[in-house]
Amino acid sequence: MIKLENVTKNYKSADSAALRNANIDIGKGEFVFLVGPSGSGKSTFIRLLNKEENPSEGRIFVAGKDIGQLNSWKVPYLRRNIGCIFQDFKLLEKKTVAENVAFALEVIGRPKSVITKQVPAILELVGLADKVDSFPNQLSGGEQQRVSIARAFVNRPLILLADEPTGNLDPATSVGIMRLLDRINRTGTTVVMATHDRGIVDTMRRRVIELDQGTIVRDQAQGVYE
Amino acid sequence: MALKVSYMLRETGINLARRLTLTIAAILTISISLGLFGSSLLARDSVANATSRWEGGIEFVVWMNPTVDADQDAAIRRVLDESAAIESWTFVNQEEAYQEFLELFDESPELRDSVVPEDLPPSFRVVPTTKDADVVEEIGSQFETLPGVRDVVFAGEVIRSIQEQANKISNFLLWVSIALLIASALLILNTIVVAISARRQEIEVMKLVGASNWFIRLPFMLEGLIHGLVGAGIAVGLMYSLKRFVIDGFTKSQGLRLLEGLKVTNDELIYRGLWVLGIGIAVGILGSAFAVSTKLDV
Ligand SMILES: Nc1ncnc2c1ncn2[C@@H]1O[C@H](COP(=O)(O)OP(=O)(O)OP(=O)(O)O)[C@@H](O)[C@H]1O
Ligand SMILES: [Mg+2]
Repeated sequence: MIKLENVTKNYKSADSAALRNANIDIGKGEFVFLVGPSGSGKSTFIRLLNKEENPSEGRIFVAGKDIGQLNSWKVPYLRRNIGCIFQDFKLLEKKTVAENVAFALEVIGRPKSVITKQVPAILELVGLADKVDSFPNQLSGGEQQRVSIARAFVNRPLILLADEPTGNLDPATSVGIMRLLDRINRTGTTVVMATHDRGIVDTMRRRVIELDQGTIVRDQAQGVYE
Repeated sequence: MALKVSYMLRETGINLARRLTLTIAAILTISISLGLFGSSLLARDSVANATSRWEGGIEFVVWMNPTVDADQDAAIRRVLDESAAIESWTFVNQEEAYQEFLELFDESPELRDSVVPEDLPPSFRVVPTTKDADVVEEIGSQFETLPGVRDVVFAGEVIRSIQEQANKISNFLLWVSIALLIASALLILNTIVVAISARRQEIEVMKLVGASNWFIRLPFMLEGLIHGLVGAGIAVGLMYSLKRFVIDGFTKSQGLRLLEGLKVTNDELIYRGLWVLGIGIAVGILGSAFAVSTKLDV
Protein backbone atom coordinates (compact mmCIF):
# COMPACT_ATOMS: atom_id res chain seq x y z
CA MET A 1 0.00 0.00 0.00
CA ILE A 2 2.86 2.36 0.92
CA LYS A 3 6.44 1.96 -0.22
CA LEU A 4 9.44 4.23 0.27
CA GLU A 5 12.57 3.63 -1.81
CA ASN A 6 15.75 5.40 -0.61
CA VAL A 7 13.76 8.46 0.41
CA THR A 8 15.67 11.48 1.69
CA LYS A 9 14.15 14.81 2.61
CA ASN A 10 16.23 17.95 3.02
CA TYR A 11 14.33 21.12 3.92
CA LYS A 12 15.81 24.17 2.25
CA SER A 13 16.46 26.03 5.48
CA ALA A 14 17.82 23.06 7.46
CA ASP A 15 21.39 21.83 7.42
CA SER A 16 20.76 18.14 8.15
CA ALA A 17 18.25 15.82 6.50
CA ALA A 18 14.80 15.47 8.13
CA LEU A 19 14.55 11.99 6.66
CA ARG A 20 17.56 10.00 5.48
CA ASN A 21 17.58 7.13 2.99
CA ALA A 22 14.34 5.58 4.23
CA ASN A 23 13.20 2.20 2.87
CA ILE A 24 9.84 0.98 4.10
CA ASP A 25 7.08 -1.27 2.85
CA ILE A 26 3.66 -1.04 4.52
CA GLY A 27 1.01 -3.53 3.44
CA LYS A 28 -2.72 -3.00 3.04
CA GLY A 29 -4.57 -3.04 6.35
CA GLU A 30 -1.47 -2.66 8.51
CA PHE A 31 -1.40 -0.47 11.62
CA VAL A 32 1.96 1.26 12.04
CA PHE A 33 3.28 3.47 14.84
CA LEU A 34 5.96 6.03 14.04
CA VAL A 35 7.96 6.81 17.17
CA GLY A 36 11.07 8.80 17.96
CA PRO A 37 12.17 11.93 19.76
CA SER A 38 10.99 15.39 18.79
CA GLY A 39 12.47 16.48 15.47
CA SER A 40 13.28 12.93 14.39
CA GLY A 41 11.19 13.25 11.20
CA LYS A 42 7.80 11.67 12.02
CA SER A 43 5.70 14.54 10.71
CA THR A 44 7.95 14.80 7.68
CA PHE A 45 7.35 11.10 6.96
CA ILE A 46 3.58 11.69 7.10
CA ARG A 47 3.65 14.84 4.98
CA LEU A 48 5.61 13.03 2.29
CA LEU A 49 2.87 10.39 2.02
CA ASN A 50 0.10 12.81 1.08
CA LYS A 51 2.45 14.94 -1.01
CA GLU A 52 2.31 18.00 1.21
CA GLU A 53 6.08 17.74 0.83
CA ASN A 54 8.14 16.18 -1.94
CA PRO A 55 11.20 14.01 -1.29
CA SER A 56 14.61 15.39 -2.21
CA GLU A 57 15.67 11.92 -3.33
CA GLY A 58 14.06 8.54 -3.75
CA ARG A 59 10.63 7.36 -4.76
CA ILE A 60 7.35 6.96 -2.86
CA PHE A 61 4.59 4.60 -3.99
CA VAL A 62 1.04 4.87 -2.67
CA ALA A 63 -1.47 2.23 -3.78
CA GLY A 64 1.00 1.12 -6.43
CA LYS A 65 1.49 4.60 -7.94
CA ASP A 66 4.74 6.55 -7.94
CA ILE A 67 3.42 9.80 -6.42
CA GLY A 68 6.51 11.71 -7.55
CA GLN A 69 5.19 11.32 -11.10
CA LEU A 70 1.78 12.85 -10.31
CA ASN A 71 0.78 16.05 -12.06
CA SER A 72 -0.19 18.77 -9.61
CA TRP A 73 -3.82 18.57 -10.76
CA LYS A 74 -3.88 14.86 -9.84
CA VAL A 75 -2.66 15.38 -6.27
CA PRO A 76 -6.21 16.08 -4.99
CA TYR A 77 -7.29 12.66 -6.28
CA LEU A 78 -4.41 11.05 -4.35
CA ARG A 79 -5.58 12.87 -1.21
CA ARG A 80 -9.13 11.57 -1.59
CA ASN A 81 -7.65 8.15 -0.83
CA ILE A 82 -5.82 9.40 2.24
CA GLY A 83 -7.53 10.65 5.39
CA CYS A 84 -5.56 12.86 7.78
CA ILE A 85 -5.98 13.72 11.45
CA PHE A 86 -3.84 15.98 13.61
CA GLN A 87 -3.06 16.94 17.15
CA ASP A 88 -4.93 20.26 16.68
CA PHE A 89 -7.99 18.77 14.89
CA LYS A 90 -8.17 21.50 12.21
CA LEU A 91 -11.94 21.87 12.53
CA LEU A 92 -13.74 24.92 11.10
CA GLU A 93 -15.03 26.91 14.08
CA LYS A 94 -17.96 28.47 12.21
CA LYS A 95 -19.39 25.17 11.06
CA THR A 96 -21.30 22.65 13.14
CA VAL A 97 -20.12 19.09 13.63
CA ALA A 98 -22.32 17.86 10.77
CA GLU A 99 -21.28 20.74 8.51
CA ASN A 100 -17.60 20.10 9.19
CA VAL A 101 -17.99 16.51 8.05
CA ALA A 102 -20.27 17.41 5.14
CA PHE A 103 -17.73 19.99 3.97
CA ALA A 104 -15.22 17.23 3.18
CA LEU A 105 -17.71 15.57 0.84
CA GLU A 106 -19.09 18.78 -0.59
CA VAL A 107 -15.74 20.13 -1.75
CA ILE A 108 -14.93 16.96 -3.66
CA GLY A 109 -18.23 17.26 -5.49
CA ARG A 110 -20.23 14.46 -3.86
CA PRO A 111 -23.97 14.71 -4.57
CA LYS A 112 -26.27 15.98 -1.85
CA SER A 113 -28.06 12.63 -1.58
CA VAL A 114 -24.77 10.94 -0.64
CA ILE A 115 -23.93 13.66 1.88
CA THR A 116 -27.26 13.49 3.69
CA LYS A 117 -26.89 9.74 4.00
CA GLN A 118 -23.22 9.39 4.93
CA VAL A 119 -22.76 12.24 7.40
CA PRO A 120 -25.21 10.94 10.04
CA ALA A 121 -23.90 7.40 9.53
CA ILE A 122 -20.26 8.33 10.16
CA LEU A 123 -21.18 10.52 13.14
CA GLU A 124 -23.04 7.56 14.57
CA LEU A 125 -19.94 5.42 14.04
CA VAL A 126 -17.68 7.83 15.95
CA GLY A 127 -20.27 8.16 18.72
CA LEU A 128 -21.37 11.75 18.15
CA ALA A 129 -24.93 11.21 16.94
CA ASP A 130 -26.22 13.54 19.67
CA LYS A 131 -23.75 16.37 18.86
CA VAL A 132 -24.42 16.93 15.15
CA ASP A 133 -25.51 20.54 15.63
CA SER A 134 -22.86 21.55 18.16
CA PHE A 135 -20.00 23.83 17.24
CA PRO A 136 -16.40 22.71 17.81
CA ASN A 137 -15.89 25.08 20.76
CA GLN A 138 -18.81 23.40 22.53
CA LEU A 139 -17.02 20.02 22.44
CA SER A 140 -14.31 18.40 24.55
CA GLY A 141 -10.94 17.66 22.96
CA GLY A 142 -11.79 14.00 22.58
CA GLU A 143 -15.09 14.84 20.89
CA GLN A 144 -13.36 17.26 18.55
CA GLN A 145 -10.88 14.58 17.57
CA ARG A 146 -13.80 12.23 16.82
CA VAL A 147 -15.26 14.86 14.50
CA SER A 148 -11.95 15.14 12.70
CA ILE A 149 -11.76 11.34 12.43
CA ALA A 150 -15.28 11.33 11.01
CA ARG A 151 -14.27 13.94 8.47
CA ALA A 152 -11.13 12.00 7.51
CA PHE A 153 -12.95 8.69 7.22
CA VAL A 154 -16.30 9.71 5.71
CA ASN A 155 -14.89 9.32 2.22
CA ARG A 156 -13.67 5.75 3.07
CA PRO A 157 -9.98 6.36 2.29
CA LEU A 158 -7.53 3.50 1.79
CA ILE A 159 -5.08 5.07 4.21
CA LEU A 160 -5.46 7.06 7.42
CA LEU A 161 -2.54 9.23 8.49
CA ALA A 162 -2.54 10.41 12.10
CA ASP A 163 0.04 12.88 13.42
CA GLU A 164 -0.04 12.69 17.23
CA PRO A 165 -3.85 12.42 17.36
CA THR A 166 -3.82 11.96 21.13
CA GLY A 167 -1.19 14.63 21.79
CA ASN A 168 -3.73 17.01 23.35
CA LEU A 169 -5.86 14.41 25.14
CA ASP A 170 -5.78 12.83 28.59
CA PRO A 171 -5.03 9.06 28.80
CA ALA A 172 -8.66 7.96 29.25
CA THR A 173 -9.85 9.99 26.26
CA SER A 174 -6.86 8.75 24.25
CA VAL A 175 -7.94 5.17 24.81
CA GLY A 176 -11.33 5.99 23.29
CA ILE A 177 -9.70 7.53 20.24
CA MET A 178 -7.40 4.51 19.85
CA ARG A 179 -10.40 2.15 19.98
CA LEU A 180 -11.93 4.16 17.15
CA LEU A 181 -8.75 4.04 15.07
CA ASP A 182 -8.50 0.31 15.74
CA ARG A 183 -12.06 -0.17 14.47
CA ILE A 184 -11.29 1.81 11.36
CA ASN A 185 -8.16 -0.29 10.85
CA ARG A 186 -10.24 -3.45 11.05
CA THR A 187 -12.30 -2.31 8.05
CA GLY A 188 -9.11 -2.76 6.00
CA THR A 189 -7.86 0.82 6.20
CA THR A 190 -4.10 1.17 6.52
CA VAL A 191 -3.26 3.39 9.52
CA VAL A 192 0.03 5.22 10.02
CA MET A 193 0.23 7.07 13.32
CA ALA A 194 3.01 9.24 14.69
CA THR A 195 3.00 9.34 18.49
CA HIS A 196 4.92 10.06 21.67
CA ASP A 197 2.44 8.04 23.75
CA ARG A 198 4.34 5.14 25.27
CA GLY A 199 1.26 3.65 26.95
CA ILE A 200 -0.68 3.40 23.71
CA VAL A 201 2.17 1.81 21.75
CA ASP A 202 2.92 -0.69 24.50
CA THR A 203 -0.69 -1.84 24.94
CA MET A 204 -1.65 -2.02 21.23
CA ARG A 205 1.42 -4.09 20.20
CA ARG A 206 1.46 -3.19 16.53
CA ARG A 207 4.27 -2.64 14.07
CA VAL A 208 6.61 0.11 15.33
CA ILE A 209 8.98 2.15 13.17
CA GLU A 210 11.43 4.23 15.16
CA LEU A 211 13.14 7.29 13.75
CA ASP A 212 16.16 9.08 15.13
CA GLN A 213 17.45 12.25 13.48
CA GLY A 214 15.81 11.23 10.22
CA THR A 215 17.13 7.69 10.17
CA ILE A 216 15.01 4.55 10.64
CA VAL A 217 16.67 2.81 13.58
CA ARG A 218 14.07 0.12 14.26
CA ASP A 219 11.23 -1.61 12.42
CA GLN A 220 9.55 -4.14 14.68
CA ALA A 221 6.38 -6.20 14.30
CA GLN A 222 4.18 -6.14 17.43
CA GLY A 223 6.70 -3.75 18.89
CA VAL A 224 6.91 -1.55 21.95
CA TYR A 225 7.77 2.11 22.41
CA GLU A 226 11.39 1.49 23.31
CA MET B 1 -22.81 19.08 -10.68
CA ALA B 2 -25.86 21.00 -9.52
CA LEU B 3 -24.35 20.98 -6.06
CA LYS B 4 -21.06 22.32 -7.39
CA VAL B 5 -22.70 25.25 -9.14
CA SER B 6 -24.73 26.16 -6.08
CA TYR B 7 -21.63 25.71 -3.91
CA MET B 8 -19.62 28.09 -6.12
CA LEU B 9 -22.38 30.71 -6.16
CA ARG B 10 -22.92 30.46 -2.42
CA GLU B 11 -19.21 30.75 -1.58
CA THR B 12 -18.74 33.63 -4.02
CA GLY B 13 -21.77 35.37 -2.56
CA ILE B 14 -20.43 34.93 0.97
CA ASN B 15 -17.05 36.33 -0.08
CA LEU B 16 -18.67 39.37 -1.67
CA ALA B 17 -21.00 40.02 1.26
CA ARG B 18 -18.40 39.56 4.00
CA ARG B 19 -16.24 42.32 2.59
CA LEU B 20 -19.01 44.56 1.36
CA THR B 21 -17.08 47.82 1.73
CA LEU B 22 -14.08 46.48 -0.19
CA THR B 23 -16.41 45.02 -2.81
CA ILE B 24 -18.17 48.37 -3.27
CA ALA B 25 -14.85 50.21 -3.45
CA ALA B 26 -13.53 47.82 -6.08
CA ILE B 27 -16.70 47.99 -8.17
CA LEU B 28 -16.93 51.78 -7.97
CA THR B 29 -13.31 52.28 -8.97
CA ILE B 30 -13.64 49.99 -11.92
CA SER B 31 -16.92 51.56 -13.04
CA ILE B 32 -15.50 55.08 -12.82
CA SER B 33 -12.32 54.15 -14.67
CA LEU B 34 -14.14 52.22 -17.36
CA GLY B 35 -16.82 54.92 -17.57
CA LEU B 36 -14.10 57.50 -18.26
CA PHE B 37 -12.41 55.18 -20.69
CA GLY B 38 -15.64 54.52 -22.59
CA SER B 39 -16.56 58.21 -22.55
CA SER B 40 -13.24 59.19 -24.04
CA LEU B 41 -13.79 56.66 -26.82
CA LEU B 42 -17.30 58.02 -27.47
CA ALA B 43 -16.02 61.60 -27.47
CA ARG B 44 -13.43 60.56 -30.01
CA ASP B 45 -16.07 58.88 -32.16
CA SER B 46 -18.40 61.84 -32.05
CA VAL B 47 -15.73 64.33 -33.05
CA ALA B 48 -14.53 61.97 -35.78
CA ASN B 49 -18.11 61.73 -37.05
CA ALA B 50 -18.53 65.49 -37.02
CA THR B 51 -15.29 66.12 -38.83
CA SER B 52 -14.92 62.98 -40.93
CA ARG B 53 -14.59 64.99 -44.15
CA TRP B 54 -11.65 66.82 -42.71
CA GLU B 55 -9.35 64.02 -41.71
CA GLY B 56 -5.89 63.25 -43.07
CA GLY B 57 -4.87 66.86 -43.72
CA ILE B 58 -7.75 67.68 -46.06
CA GLU B 59 -8.02 71.48 -46.08
CA PHE B 60 -10.72 72.06 -48.67
CA VAL B 61 -13.38 70.24 -50.66
CA VAL B 62 -14.35 71.05 -54.24
CA TRP B 63 -18.04 70.21 -54.57
CA MET B 64 -19.18 69.50 -58.15
CA ASN B 65 -22.64 69.82 -59.59
CA PRO B 66 -24.47 66.47 -59.64
CA THR B 67 -24.84 67.02 -63.37
CA VAL B 68 -21.11 67.49 -64.05
CA ASP B 69 -19.93 66.03 -67.38
CA ALA B 70 -16.78 64.08 -68.23
CA ASP B 71 -14.93 67.02 -69.79
CA GLN B 72 -15.46 69.26 -66.79
CA ASP B 73 -14.39 66.43 -64.49
CA ALA B 74 -11.21 65.81 -66.50
CA ALA B 75 -10.37 69.51 -66.43
CA ILE B 76 -10.52 69.62 -62.66
CA ARG B 77 -8.36 66.52 -62.35
CA ARG B 78 -5.77 68.08 -64.65
CA VAL B 79 -5.56 71.23 -62.53
CA LEU B 80 -5.29 69.19 -59.34
CA ASP B 81 -2.49 67.02 -60.76
CA GLU B 82 -0.54 69.91 -62.22
CA SER B 83 -0.67 72.24 -59.21
CA ALA B 84 2.60 72.18 -57.28
CA ALA B 85 0.80 73.42 -54.17
CA ILE B 86 -1.32 70.28 -53.92
CA GLU B 87 0.11 67.24 -52.24
CA SER B 88 -2.72 64.76 -52.85
CA TRP B 89 -6.45 64.53 -53.45
CA THR B 90 -9.23 61.95 -53.44
CA PHE B 91 -12.38 61.79 -55.50
CA VAL B 92 -15.64 60.89 -53.77
CA ASN B 93 -18.24 59.77 -56.31
CA GLN B 94 -22.01 59.98 -55.93
CA GLU B 95 -22.37 56.46 -54.56
CA GLU B 96 -19.70 57.12 -51.89
CA ALA B 97 -21.28 60.46 -51.08
CA TYR B 98 -24.57 58.62 -50.63
CA GLN B 99 -22.98 56.16 -48.19
CA GLU B 100 -21.58 59.06 -46.19
CA PHE B 101 -24.99 60.69 -46.19
CA LEU B 102 -26.61 57.47 -44.93
CA GLU B 103 -24.16 57.27 -42.06
CA LEU B 104 -24.72 60.84 -41.06
CA PHE B 105 -28.50 60.54 -41.07
CA ASP B 106 -28.98 56.96 -40.02
CA GLU B 107 -31.51 58.00 -37.41
CA SER B 108 -33.69 60.05 -39.75
CA PRO B 109 -35.40 57.52 -42.05
CA GLU B 110 -37.64 60.21 -43.65
CA LEU B 111 -34.60 62.08 -44.86
CA ARG B 112 -32.82 58.94 -46.02
CA ASP B 113 -35.74 57.76 -48.09
CA SER B 114 -36.12 61.07 -49.84
CA VAL B 115 -32.59 61.05 -51.27
CA VAL B 116 -31.01 58.92 -54.02
CA PRO B 117 -27.31 58.85 -55.00
CA GLU B 118 -28.00 60.93 -58.12
CA ASP B 119 -29.08 63.87 -55.96
CA LEU B 120 -25.73 64.13 -54.23
CA PRO B 121 -22.74 66.06 -55.48
CA PRO B 122 -19.45 64.27 -56.17
CA SER B 123 -16.44 65.98 -54.64
CA PHE B 124 -12.67 66.29 -54.66
CA ARG B 125 -11.04 66.31 -51.22
CA VAL B 126 -7.75 68.11 -51.40
CA VAL B 127 -4.62 67.98 -49.26
CA PRO B 128 -2.41 71.02 -50.03
CA THR B 129 1.30 71.12 -49.28
CA THR B 130 0.78 73.92 -46.75
CA LYS B 131 -1.61 74.52 -43.88
CA ASP B 132 -1.29 78.30 -43.98
CA ALA B 133 -4.90 79.51 -44.09
CA ASP B 134 -4.29 82.38 -46.55
CA VAL B 135 -2.36 80.24 -49.00
CA VAL B 136 -4.96 77.46 -48.77
CA GLU B 137 -7.67 80.04 -49.46
CA GLU B 138 -5.82 81.20 -52.55
CA ILE B 139 -5.27 77.67 -53.89
CA GLY B 140 -8.85 76.66 -53.26
CA SER B 141 -10.55 79.70 -54.69
CA GLN B 142 -9.07 79.14 -58.14
CA PHE B 143 -11.45 76.15 -58.44
CA GLU B 144 -14.55 78.22 -57.71
CA THR B 145 -14.72 79.59 -61.22
CA LEU B 146 -14.06 76.36 -63.09
CA PRO B 147 -17.02 74.90 -65.00
CA GLY B 148 -18.97 72.17 -63.20
CA VAL B 149 -17.92 73.36 -59.75
CA ARG B 150 -20.74 74.16 -57.33
CA ASP B 151 -18.62 75.56 -54.50
CA VAL B 152 -15.43 75.16 -52.52
CA VAL B 153 -15.57 74.60 -48.75
CA PHE B 154 -12.59 75.17 -46.46
CA ALA B 155 -11.83 73.28 -43.27
CA GLY B 156 -11.12 76.48 -41.52
CA GLU B 157 -9.55 77.02 -38.18
CA VAL B 158 -12.66 76.12 -36.23
CA ILE B 159 -12.69 72.52 -37.41
CA ARG B 160 -8.96 72.21 -36.84
CA SER B 161 -9.15 73.50 -33.32
CA ILE B 162 -12.12 71.30 -32.49
CA GLN B 163 -10.14 68.29 -33.67
CA GLU B 164 -7.08 69.31 -31.73
CA GLN B 165 -8.90 70.12 -28.52
CA ALA B 166 -11.02 67.00 -28.73
CA ASN B 167 -7.95 64.86 -29.23
CA LYS B 168 -6.24 66.49 -26.29
CA ILE B 169 -9.23 65.97 -24.02
CA SER B 170 -9.83 62.40 -25.04
CA ASN B 171 -6.14 61.55 -24.71
CA PHE B 172 -6.13 63.04 -21.25
CA LEU B 173 -9.23 61.08 -20.29
CA LEU B 174 -7.65 57.96 -21.72
CA TRP B 175 -4.54 58.27 -19.54
CA VAL B 176 -6.53 59.10 -16.44
CA SER B 177 -8.76 56.10 -17.06
CA ILE B 178 -5.78 53.80 -17.63
CA ALA B 179 -4.28 54.92 -14.30
CA LEU B 180 -7.62 54.30 -12.60
CA LEU B 181 -7.87 50.92 -14.30
CA ILE B 182 -4.53 49.92 -12.84
CA ALA B 183 -5.81 51.12 -9.47
CA SER B 184 -8.93 48.99 -9.83
CA ALA B 185 -6.93 45.90 -10.81
CA LEU B 186 -4.81 46.39 -7.67
CA LEU B 187 -7.91 46.91 -5.57
CA ILE B 188 -9.46 43.71 -6.89
CA LEU B 189 -6.19 41.90 -6.25
CA ASN B 190 -6.12 43.11 -2.66
CA THR B 191 -9.77 42.29 -2.08
CA ILE B 192 -9.11 38.72 -3.23
CA VAL B 193 -5.96 38.49 -1.12
CA VAL B 194 -8.02 39.51 1.91
CA ALA B 195 -10.70 36.98 0.96
CA ILE B 196 -8.08 34.24 0.67
CA SER B 197 -6.46 34.98 4.00
CA ALA B 198 -9.86 35.12 5.71
CA ARG B 199 -10.46 31.58 4.47
CA ARG B 200 -7.01 30.13 5.18
CA GLN B 201 -8.36 27.36 7.38
CA GLU B 202 -11.07 26.33 4.96
CA ILE B 203 -8.54 26.24 2.14
CA GLU B 204 -6.19 24.11 4.25
CA VAL B 205 -8.97 21.62 4.94
CA MET B 206 -10.05 21.61 1.30
CA LYS B 207 -6.52 20.73 0.23
CA LEU B 208 -6.32 17.99 2.86
CA VAL B 209 -9.52 16.26 1.82
CA GLY B 210 -8.65 16.47 -1.86
CA ALA B 211 -10.71 19.31 -3.32
CA SER B 212 -9.48 19.88 -6.86
CA ASN B 213 -7.35 22.91 -7.54
CA TRP B 214 -10.02 24.57 -9.64
CA PHE B 215 -12.65 23.92 -7.04
CA ILE B 216 -10.55 25.90 -4.56
CA ARG B 217 -9.68 28.67 -7.01
CA LEU B 218 -13.01 29.21 -8.69
CA PRO B 219 -14.94 31.11 -5.98
CA PHE B 220 -12.11 33.65 -5.79
CA MET B 221 -11.83 33.95 -9.56
CA LEU B 222 -15.60 34.40 -9.76
CA GLU B 223 -15.43 37.13 -7.15
CA GLY B 224 -12.92 39.07 -9.26
CA LEU B 225 -14.95 38.41 -12.40
CA ILE B 226 -18.07 39.80 -10.73
CA HIS B 227 -16.20 42.94 -9.66
CA GLY B 228 -15.11 43.47 -13.25
CA LEU B 229 -18.46 42.61 -14.78
CA VAL B 230 -20.61 44.72 -12.47
CA GLY B 231 -18.17 47.64 -12.71
CA ALA B 232 -18.17 47.43 -16.50
CA GLY B 233 -21.96 47.17 -16.54
CA ILE B 234 -22.24 50.43 -14.60
CA ALA B 235 -19.68 52.00 -16.94
CA VAL B 236 -21.76 51.00 -19.98
CA GLY B 237 -24.77 52.60 -18.28
CA LEU B 238 -22.74 55.81 -17.90
CA MET B 239 -21.77 55.68 -21.57
CA TYR B 240 -25.38 55.19 -22.60
CA SER B 241 -26.39 58.22 -20.52
CA LEU B 242 -23.60 60.26 -22.10
CA LYS B 243 -24.92 59.45 -25.56
CA ARG B 244 -28.59 59.73 -24.75
CA PHE B 245 -28.56 62.91 -22.67
CA VAL B 246 -25.47 64.82 -23.80
CA ILE B 247 -24.27 63.92 -27.28
CA ASP B 248 -27.74 63.36 -28.75
CA GLY B 249 -28.65 66.78 -27.35
CA PHE B 250 -25.82 68.34 -29.39
CA THR B 251 -26.84 66.42 -32.49
CA LYS B 252 -30.33 67.89 -32.41
CA SER B 253 -29.50 71.33 -31.05
CA GLN B 254 -30.36 74.36 -33.15
CA GLY B 255 -28.65 76.92 -30.94
CA LEU B 256 -25.25 75.27 -30.87
CA ARG B 257 -24.70 75.03 -34.61
CA LEU B 258 -21.04 74.42 -34.08
CA LEU B 259 -21.75 71.15 -32.27
CA GLU B 260 -24.57 69.94 -34.45
CA GLY B 261 -22.40 67.44 -36.29
CA LEU B 262 -21.41 65.76 -33.02
CA LYS B 263 -23.04 62.35 -32.89
CA VAL B 264 -22.54 58.76 -31.85
CA THR B 265 -24.42 55.97 -33.60
CA ASN B 266 -26.03 53.10 -31.73
CA ASP B 267 -23.61 50.72 -33.41
CA GLU B 268 -20.69 52.73 -32.11
CA LEU B 269 -22.15 52.71 -28.61
CA ILE B 270 -22.61 48.93 -28.71
CA TYR B 271 -19.12 48.42 -30.12
CA ARG B 272 -17.47 50.62 -27.48
CA GLY B 273 -19.70 49.08 -24.79
CA LEU B 274 -18.43 45.61 -25.71
CA TRP B 275 -14.87 46.92 -25.49
CA VAL B 276 -15.54 48.22 -22.01
CA LEU B 277 -17.19 44.96 -20.90
CA GLY B 278 -14.27 42.98 -22.29
CA ILE B 279 -11.73 45.14 -20.48
CA GLY B 280 -13.76 44.94 -17.24
CA ILE B 281 -13.83 41.16 -17.42
CA ALA B 282 -10.12 41.06 -18.25
CA VAL B 283 -9.20 43.35 -15.34
CA GLY B 284 -11.35 41.33 -12.92
CA ILE B 285 -9.88 38.01 -14.03
CA LEU B 286 -6.31 39.33 -14.13
CA GLY B 287 -6.54 40.85 -10.65
CA SER B 288 -8.01 37.73 -9.10
CA ALA B 289 -5.80 35.33 -11.09
CA PHE B 290 -2.74 37.14 -9.82
CA ALA B 291 -4.00 36.98 -6.22
CA VAL B 292 -4.91 33.32 -6.58
CA SER B 293 -1.64 32.29 -8.19
CA THR B 294 0.52 34.09 -5.63
CA LYS B 295 -1.49 33.45 -2.46
CA LEU B 296 -3.32 30.19 -2.94
CA ASP B 297 -0.47 27.82 -3.82
CA VAL B 298 -2.66 25.15 -5.44
N1 LIG C 1 8.86 23.19 6.98
C1 LIG C 1 10.08 22.94 7.47
N2 LIG C 1 11.13 23.69 7.08
C2 LIG C 1 12.35 23.45 7.53
N3 LIG C 1 12.66 22.50 8.40
C3 LIG C 1 11.67 21.71 8.86
C4 LIG C 1 10.32 21.90 8.41
N4 LIG C 1 9.54 20.97 9.01
C5 LIG C 1 10.36 20.25 9.78
N5 LIG C 1 11.63 20.69 9.71
C6 LIG C 1 12.79 20.10 10.39
O1 LIG C 1 12.87 18.74 10.03
C7 LIG C 1 13.19 17.95 11.15
C8 LIG C 1 12.11 16.91 11.37
O2 LIG C 1 10.92 17.57 11.76
P1 LIG C 1 9.54 16.82 11.98
O3 LIG C 1 8.48 17.85 12.17
O4 LIG C 1 9.35 15.83 10.91
O5 LIG C 1 9.83 16.09 13.36
P2 LIG C 1 8.80 15.29 14.28
O6 LIG C 1 9.43 13.95 14.49
O7 LIG C 1 7.44 15.32 13.76
O8 LIG C 1 8.89 16.11 15.63
P3 LIG C 1 7.76 16.28 16.76
O9 LIG C 1 7.75 15.02 17.52
O10 LIG C 1 8.25 17.41 17.60
O11 LIG C 1 6.48 16.58 16.07
C9 LIG C 1 13.34 18.90 12.32
O12 LIG C 1 14.74 19.15 12.46
C10 LIG C 1 12.64 20.15 11.90
O13 LIG C 1 13.26 21.28 12.44
MG1 LIG D 1 5.61 16.20 14.37
